[in-house]
Amino acid sequence: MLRKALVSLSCSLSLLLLVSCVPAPEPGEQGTDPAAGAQTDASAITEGTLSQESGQQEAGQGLGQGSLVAHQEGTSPDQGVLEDVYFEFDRSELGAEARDALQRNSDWIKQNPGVSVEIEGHADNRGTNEYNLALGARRAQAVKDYLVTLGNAPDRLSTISYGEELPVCGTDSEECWRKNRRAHFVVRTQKPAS
Amino acid sequence: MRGRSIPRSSHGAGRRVESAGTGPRRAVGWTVAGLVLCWLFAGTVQAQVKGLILGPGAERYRMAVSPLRNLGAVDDGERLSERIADVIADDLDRSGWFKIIDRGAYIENPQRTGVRLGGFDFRDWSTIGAEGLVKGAFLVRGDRVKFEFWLYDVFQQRSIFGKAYQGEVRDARRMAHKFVDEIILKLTGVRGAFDTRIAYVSTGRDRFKEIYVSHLDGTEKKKVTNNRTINLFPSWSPDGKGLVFLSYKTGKPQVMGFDLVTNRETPISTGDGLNLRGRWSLDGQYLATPLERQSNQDLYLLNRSGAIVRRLTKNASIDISPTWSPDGRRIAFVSDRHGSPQLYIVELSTGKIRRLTFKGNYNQSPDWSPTGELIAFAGRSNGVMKIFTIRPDGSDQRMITSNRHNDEDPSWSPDGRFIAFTSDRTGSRRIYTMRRDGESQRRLTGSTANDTHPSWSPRLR
Repeated sequence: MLRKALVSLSCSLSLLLLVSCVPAPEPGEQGTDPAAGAQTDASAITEGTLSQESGQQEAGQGLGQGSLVAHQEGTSPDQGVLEDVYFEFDRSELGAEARDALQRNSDWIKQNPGVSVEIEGHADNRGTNEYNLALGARRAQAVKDYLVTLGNAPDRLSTISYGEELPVCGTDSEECWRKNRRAHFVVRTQKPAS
Repeated sequence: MRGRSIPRSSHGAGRRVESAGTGPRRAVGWTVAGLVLCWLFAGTVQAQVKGLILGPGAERYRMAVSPLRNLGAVDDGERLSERIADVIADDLDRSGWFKIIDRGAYIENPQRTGVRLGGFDFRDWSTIGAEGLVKGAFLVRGDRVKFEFWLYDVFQQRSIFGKAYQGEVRDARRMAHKFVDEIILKLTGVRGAFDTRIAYVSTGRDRFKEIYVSHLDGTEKKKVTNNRTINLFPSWSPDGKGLVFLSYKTGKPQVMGFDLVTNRETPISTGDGLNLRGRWSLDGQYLATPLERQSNQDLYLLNRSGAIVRRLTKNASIDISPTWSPDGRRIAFVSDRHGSPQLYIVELSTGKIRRLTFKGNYNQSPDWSPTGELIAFAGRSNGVMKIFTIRPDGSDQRMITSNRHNDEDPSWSPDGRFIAFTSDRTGSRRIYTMRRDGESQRRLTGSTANDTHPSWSPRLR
């Protein structure tokens, strides 16, 4: 167990060294959630809880946090090295901006062959939860399909839909809805279970 | 009058024990001739009162519900006298067919007057404008209680019917609901649906969506899940003893079954992908359900062991939210095959699919009425979701909620006369019931903030 953790940790650290093109996150304070620290003022100390089952990295070096885990911890999901992409209302097609972001995400994934990526599909809260779950699944799949056309192996990419259940923005406004209609990425050092 | 006893029985808790009956019914007994007479008699009552209260635009029947008479020697520590009268009055009010006369206007002292013919004066009730009157008495012995309830026609100064119930004191409210269901049966020809439960999703006071079940009056609220993740779309098994729902408890969306008798939770789907809400056919033989293949939802029929019997839809669109016609021959569902979500119906004998809704560009979550003649759904109108009904042939589409807030998730009562739904009209989402024409909208008693996805149970046994 310890050995596995060490392997995983060193793997994560070596990953970080590889990713010189990505702005390096500020190192977290000892004992805090480094992923949370990465997005806050370096002088502010924030505390987060780590979970063994969460799919988070031990040191969470900007690899992205799962939205359900963040929800359970009562925090906002951290965006890691992979950028979220956004959608039009009730659509799952990728716009030019989304395709550019996916090109950058794809480059990073190719440079890090040891990782797998979970793609979360989300929707805004208009319409029924059920339809929005199906829509989220389709958005995640659209992203996966595009990453595959960019040359990534399908078995490194998994999808999950959260529909409208895990919004990042909580008010009923066009601005919030836009932020919630998204695909979010979580990087894992192990392959997804098939 | 104090010496009158409630009919005795040896049957179990909460069960109807004996039909106290009116004069003619009791005299004839359960012979074939008696059955015919009973039927004729019931028919007469029905015709009389049905015309009075159920005609279009008819006045609501003015009803008084007297506090119950305590036949026991001990104090009414549980306040059953008023509480049970409240249950009956609330149910009658919720049904929309009755105008309940306020208790403050009542003249007689319920503890000093009898509950059977001759034991009270009809003029005490006609004076305050009552057309109908419910009276009752109860006797508590330890944990058990006996009730007798009577429905009277004040104008004609006669009894319409009476019922006796006995069981555990904690089931007292259910006995009252059962009596109201009988009142509605007698007056309308179809049994009421107040002895039922609602399953729903609630975030309670924290941020996790858990499944709850409660009686229609908010009592016996039971937390079905407690896994601190997301649980969605509860729906009842046809026998009313179990639920299926979607849970993220393992981190992935998975359909779970919950047995309300044994309190056991078991995973139903084990495959990968998103398996959304399925619905059992009324005979419990087939599950119509969306299955995800390549992140696309198509509809399938599964048998009881979960094997695919038939694929119902085959295209690249989202096909979800199946709901069975009560005869099991058709399934309505949601598809965005023509761009926006609309309702469609698949004919199982031919596999033919036809589009049901053409008005509006965002129609979802259909629920086929248990009586077959209407399909309720949620559709967007002027930027908010409203509840609609439509006939299965596509005619007579009506918007039945019309405030400027969001009304969603329609679910039919088992008698096909009421619809439970979610509304954010008070600022947060709560559960309401209404008649199927949109009248008599009432918040579900005990529904708190962020309650959604009501699913109305079948009738309880």
